[in-house]
Amino acid sequence: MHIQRALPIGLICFFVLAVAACAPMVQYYPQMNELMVHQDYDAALELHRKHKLNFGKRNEVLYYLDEGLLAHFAGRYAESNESFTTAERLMEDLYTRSISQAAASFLINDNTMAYRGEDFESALVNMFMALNYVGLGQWEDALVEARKVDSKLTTFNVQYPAGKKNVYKEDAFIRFIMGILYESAGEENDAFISFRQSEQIYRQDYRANYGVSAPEMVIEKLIESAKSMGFSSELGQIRNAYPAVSRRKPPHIGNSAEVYLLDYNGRGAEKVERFFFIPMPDRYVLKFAYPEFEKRPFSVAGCRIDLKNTQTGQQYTTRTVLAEDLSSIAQLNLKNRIGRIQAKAVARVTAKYLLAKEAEKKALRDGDKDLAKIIRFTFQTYMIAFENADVRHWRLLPAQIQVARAVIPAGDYQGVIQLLDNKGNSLGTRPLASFSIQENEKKLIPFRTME
Amino acid sequence: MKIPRNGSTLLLMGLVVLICSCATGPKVQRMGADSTVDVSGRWNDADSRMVAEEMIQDCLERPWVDNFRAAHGQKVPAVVVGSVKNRSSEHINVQTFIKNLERALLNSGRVRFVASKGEREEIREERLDMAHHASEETMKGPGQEYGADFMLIGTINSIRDEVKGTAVMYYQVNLELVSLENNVKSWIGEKQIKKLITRPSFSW
Repeated sequence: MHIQRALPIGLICFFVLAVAACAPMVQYYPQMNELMVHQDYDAALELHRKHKLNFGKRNEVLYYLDEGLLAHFAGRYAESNESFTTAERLMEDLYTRSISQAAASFLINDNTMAYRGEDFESALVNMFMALNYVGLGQWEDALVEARKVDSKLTTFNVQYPAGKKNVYKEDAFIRFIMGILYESAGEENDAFISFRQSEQIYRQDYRANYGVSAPEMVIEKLIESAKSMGFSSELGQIRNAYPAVSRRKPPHIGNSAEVYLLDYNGRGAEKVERFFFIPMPDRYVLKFAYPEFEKRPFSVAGCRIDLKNTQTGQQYTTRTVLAEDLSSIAQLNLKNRIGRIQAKAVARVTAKYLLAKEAEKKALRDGDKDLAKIIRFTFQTYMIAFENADVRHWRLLPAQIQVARAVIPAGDYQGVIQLLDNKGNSLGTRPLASFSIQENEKKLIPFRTME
Repeated sequence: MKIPRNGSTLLLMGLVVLICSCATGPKVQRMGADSTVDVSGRWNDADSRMVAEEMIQDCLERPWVDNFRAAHGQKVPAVVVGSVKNRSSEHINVQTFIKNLERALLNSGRVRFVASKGEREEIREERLDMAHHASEETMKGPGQEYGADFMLIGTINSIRDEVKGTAVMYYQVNLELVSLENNVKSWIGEKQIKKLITRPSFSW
């Protein structure tokens, strides 16, 4: 009788829990990645949109982040901004944590909480939006995004005081991009501040934490900017700190234009589940699960870009350098708070275990051995099946962003991108969409390499 | 598997179905266009309206129109709207308060407005089209445009200070009327808006 009564209720609870504890179903991502390898971003975007329902309410931030990024890769900048704007608003709304979801996360797992994005993901949203606006020729709007990200990074800085174990609180690459945007709009002082912050973050944070030093172009821009502002003492300090770059002839000649080629390289690190079992003396088995970022291999170590002025026939060559190691940022960001995640998992598993034992004991006290068996079986299944790590993350982010800078005369250009491995061997070539550039103009041209 | 049809099971299943199916459509409530509703704390219609009201009142009260008319034989000054740069950290549509200002000044009868740069291009295109397709009696010829005496330019600046769910947002809108004859600034209008935005840390 007890079994008959308990079984359907248990099944329904199981079903409700299963729905509540689910991460988004992303089985179609390998297919999407395949389309991206072939640079068919339109098809990848279409495929992603077909699976919108897989994400549900709790994971809709993730849906819009990937939708925005796919549209960005496809050069559909207006659509990309629509998605990113939605993602950003959702992330802001999720600042307010749901007590019911938090309680459920203690009973089931962290997947019951709405995904609200990491700090670095939130900052990247504005950077991609800024690049979208540049692509649309809306520089004033691009600068709005620059100011937004400036404000965000300042807020992160205040949130995590100095001395606290490293967390993502600044972004050298985004500061650099913002400097370029400010400079394009003639806001020289803001540009100088951004370049200076970028250099400082590379020196004080990125080099130690991610092994990424300031690319030479950052120092070159800082020198140019300090000169244009007439900041002689700052100029002296930079020259002392970077004598090799200072000695070199500055690349900026007359009214030349500047092209920045951004390579979104490799597949970003993937958050995977790590778990272990602990058998208890009373034959219960406890499962502990936690997330970990695993870097994914990629072959492209850099790119050589050859630009040809179609009017003069003159060739210009530039190479990309590493400016942002997103996989390492993601990895370290998670590593720094894994202690909290693991402590919560231990508390949750212990609570479930004690609850199971208590319920089983009560059934035995009541002399109902069958019910006790059901309770043990149900709780054991529940503890194993639902103790899952929260492995949600912005899946389509590249592993890294590399940048090349070319200072070229105004004109019409055609280009070829040569993909190189870590020994400098060619992995293939790819045409760069032809472009025109005016005197003193700046262009930011993104492309994606996934090989 | 045979599921017994007792009351509690059915009740529980019903509850699950009810929870799953309780999505509702949008709820619409009409309100006065001049009511102030702050939803997100971002720049909204109320801010735009406040800026327009302040600017209109200030612009009409100042002596620049009378000064101009006295110096130009009672000629009504003509104004063209130039660029209003958004230097804030939000995407702000400046056209909303610029159009309010334009309408109020024009309706006061003390100022004329000439079409802005973008509008003029469209009108010139139409005139060119007229030259090909309209009858001679009705077509409008070139060289008859009314030249503006002043240009309206401006900026929107913002400062955001935020820590843990509490933000202070400060906007400053500046509009200036610059004489096209001699670059003299004849009027400067300014409106500041400050908001305290708090977001709760927890909700149900």
